[in-house]
Amino acid sequence: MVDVEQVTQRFGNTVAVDDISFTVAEGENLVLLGTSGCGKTTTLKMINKLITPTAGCVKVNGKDVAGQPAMQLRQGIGYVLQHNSLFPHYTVAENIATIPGLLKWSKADTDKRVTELLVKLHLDPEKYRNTYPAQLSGGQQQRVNIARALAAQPPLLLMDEPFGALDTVTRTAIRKEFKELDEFKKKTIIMVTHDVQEAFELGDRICLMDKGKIMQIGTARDLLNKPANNFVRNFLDDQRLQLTFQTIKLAELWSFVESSSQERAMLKISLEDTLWVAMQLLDGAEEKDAVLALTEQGVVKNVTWGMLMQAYHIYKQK
Amino acid sequence: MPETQSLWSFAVQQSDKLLEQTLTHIGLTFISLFFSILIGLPLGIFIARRNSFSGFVLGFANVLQTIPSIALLGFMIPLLGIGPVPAIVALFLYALLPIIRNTYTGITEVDSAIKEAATGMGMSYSQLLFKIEIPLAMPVILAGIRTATVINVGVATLAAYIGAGGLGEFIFGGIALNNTNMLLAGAIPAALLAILFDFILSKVQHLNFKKWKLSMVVFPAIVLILSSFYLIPQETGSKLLAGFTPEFMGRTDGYLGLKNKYHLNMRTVVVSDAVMYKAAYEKKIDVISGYSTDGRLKAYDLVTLVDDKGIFPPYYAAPVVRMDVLKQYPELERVLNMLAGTITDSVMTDLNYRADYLKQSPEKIAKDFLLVHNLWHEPQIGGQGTVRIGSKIFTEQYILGQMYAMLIRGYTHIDVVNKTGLGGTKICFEAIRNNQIDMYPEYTGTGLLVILQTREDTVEKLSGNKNNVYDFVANGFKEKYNLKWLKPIGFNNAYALMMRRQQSDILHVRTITDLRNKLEE
Repeated sequence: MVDVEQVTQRFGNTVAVDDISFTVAEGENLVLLGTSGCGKTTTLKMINKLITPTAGCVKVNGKDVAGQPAMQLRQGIGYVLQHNSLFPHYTVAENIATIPGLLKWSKADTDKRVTELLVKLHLDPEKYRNTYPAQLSGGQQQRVNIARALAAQPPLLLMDEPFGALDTVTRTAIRKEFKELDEFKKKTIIMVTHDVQEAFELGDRICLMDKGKIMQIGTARDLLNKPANNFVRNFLDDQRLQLTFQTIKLAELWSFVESSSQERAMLKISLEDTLWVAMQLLDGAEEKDAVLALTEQGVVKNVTWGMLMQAYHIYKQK
Repeated sequence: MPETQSLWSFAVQQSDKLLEQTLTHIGLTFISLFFSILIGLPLGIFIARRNSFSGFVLGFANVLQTIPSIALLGFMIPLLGIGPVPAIVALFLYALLPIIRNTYTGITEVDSAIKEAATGMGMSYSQLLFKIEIPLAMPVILAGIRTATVINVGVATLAAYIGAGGLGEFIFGGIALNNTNMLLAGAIPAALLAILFDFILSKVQHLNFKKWKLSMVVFPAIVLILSSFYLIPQETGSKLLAGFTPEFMGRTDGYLGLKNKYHLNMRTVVVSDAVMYKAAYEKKIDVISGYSTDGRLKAYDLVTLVDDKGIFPPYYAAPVVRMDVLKQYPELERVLNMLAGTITDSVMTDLNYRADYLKQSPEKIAKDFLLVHNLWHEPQIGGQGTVRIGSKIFTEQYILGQMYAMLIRGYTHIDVVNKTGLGGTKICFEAIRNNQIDMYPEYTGTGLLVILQTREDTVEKLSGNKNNVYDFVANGFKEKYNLKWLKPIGFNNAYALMMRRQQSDILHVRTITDLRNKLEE
């Protein structure tokens, strides 16, 4: 879907992006991770031609973007910035209808799509359609912002620190909604963040950058378990344990988990969820109810915190 | 004393004129504003896009703004003559800076995240401009237009100096004639207009985004309608155009007398005497209210129309001095009278000609004259006290002021301060009464009619005799104001109607009655 080939970007004497290459497959979520100034945002902006690379080429759908008219290219790519990038003089509906407007959709189609998106993003269309961004909370603004990028159903979505300006609680909530939204599941998404948690939670693969170079590109588990260099290792060290929990799926622990038959399980969870999700679920429940029901092929195991930890220890030693 | 007239009754009596001036004023303000927006808005947008030009353009507009408005009007005259065009151009230049600057600031200060979002979503340059940047910059742009409007309402009062009309006619007339009602009848509506437009524009500025689309249509329409006000009052009038000074317009020995005694009714514009002669020469106006000793009469080949019904009394010039000053410096009166009888009409005309046409400085002219007449004496050591000499704001008075200063310095030990260019008669007279100056040259006719405001029947009795008038005025000033008229200098600087010699020949107009008859044909 997106190919970045030996791309370099210089601003005067500083090299913002230094000869990087990567490919993003259709339907994949790639997270560009790194501290500020590492070149991740510059890389993102070269994909929709907001920045022209000094050397190398960027291909979208196999076609070099350099040869494509910028406006058409951009109208076909969803672009999400921080929540303050909504047009303050447009209503919520007008904001969402920006690209349909540029593409000259009919009014009926546009209205239908706006309503659909508002419903999906848990904003009451009747209540919010005609309000202005300033009247919304930060979280609501960011939902509208995401809806705006999704309006014309672009196959590719570029997101630049989309949750960066939100407080922690709102950020976690929106991220969850974001993951669950059906519209995202089919899309190719390239997202920039400096938040390791966010990268591990949302990225199929993570591209960790520093000083314009790619340090490592791979799955969260690759980065955690097979760091390519000391930079990668050090970058993840602070949150290593949590990140580890985030990379282990319950399915992997299944065979090590004992079942406690006498406990009545209150919390249901999928084997596709991570250990981290399971731990958060248990942590949030009352003590007497803190039992998970794991199910595989009709077999049910009732699991407590202690049993989960025990399984993890066995898993680690193997 | 003449009966005092209330401001209200003045306004009612002059309501036609007041309405005409107000409409003209609004018209001037908005025509120039319209062009400023037409040029300033695109220019502001342009420099917001190409920042490298912004320093130059804003710097240039800034320099324009620092030129004193009256000087800017002065620059306009050689280029564009007199009348509405130079006034509109000057106002246009004044309104440019706030509009360009606010457009530029408004657009450059639109949040870069918003601009990037718009570009990133595939908007073209013009879509970005019209859908995002201009609407978001609009409150700032409107603030600029608001500033420009208020500036223009104020500066437009000066348009009356160059025959463009407006409320300045009453204001300057009022100042020149010592007529507070007239001054306020111009100043209050001008202030109200400024407040009104400021208020309306502040409302527009704070409209919410929804109403923008409507106001984008309504606002230019209103500006155009208000601009058209300028055209309304100009419909009526005669074929010959008169340009009179604000002072002349309101004097009984001026336009009022022309109307009463000659039944002269012609189209008039108000101009400052600084530009009046040149405008007549350049055929912008046909009849002017000149001074008979003015050097430009000669320079521009103008002729004086005979005052066959005698509405202009004699205007013999003489220094008017505070009594207490004469007592304090007993030698002063003798020195000031050294000039008495030395300057005839033709000599004064020649001296004025040297300044107005040959561009010699008043100092040089004064010194040369004193040298020729053996009156020059090297300045002596001062320190005995100071005499403050005032003069009105025209050439002759500057020259006379210099002569008196040289005489005092040469023949006494008194120091001299020259306070030149004191507006019109009213300002000079108020200055001497309030002990701001000690002396200034005044004219008998002006003293008779403007300061003493002598009743018509009394004026009749004096029958235009120069000695009668001088005695009457000298007595009146002494009794009422404790001011002394010294001996007349010799020349009679009478008010006179003037025309181009060529036109006067063609139309066979020699007297004011001829002119009236010509107009009625």
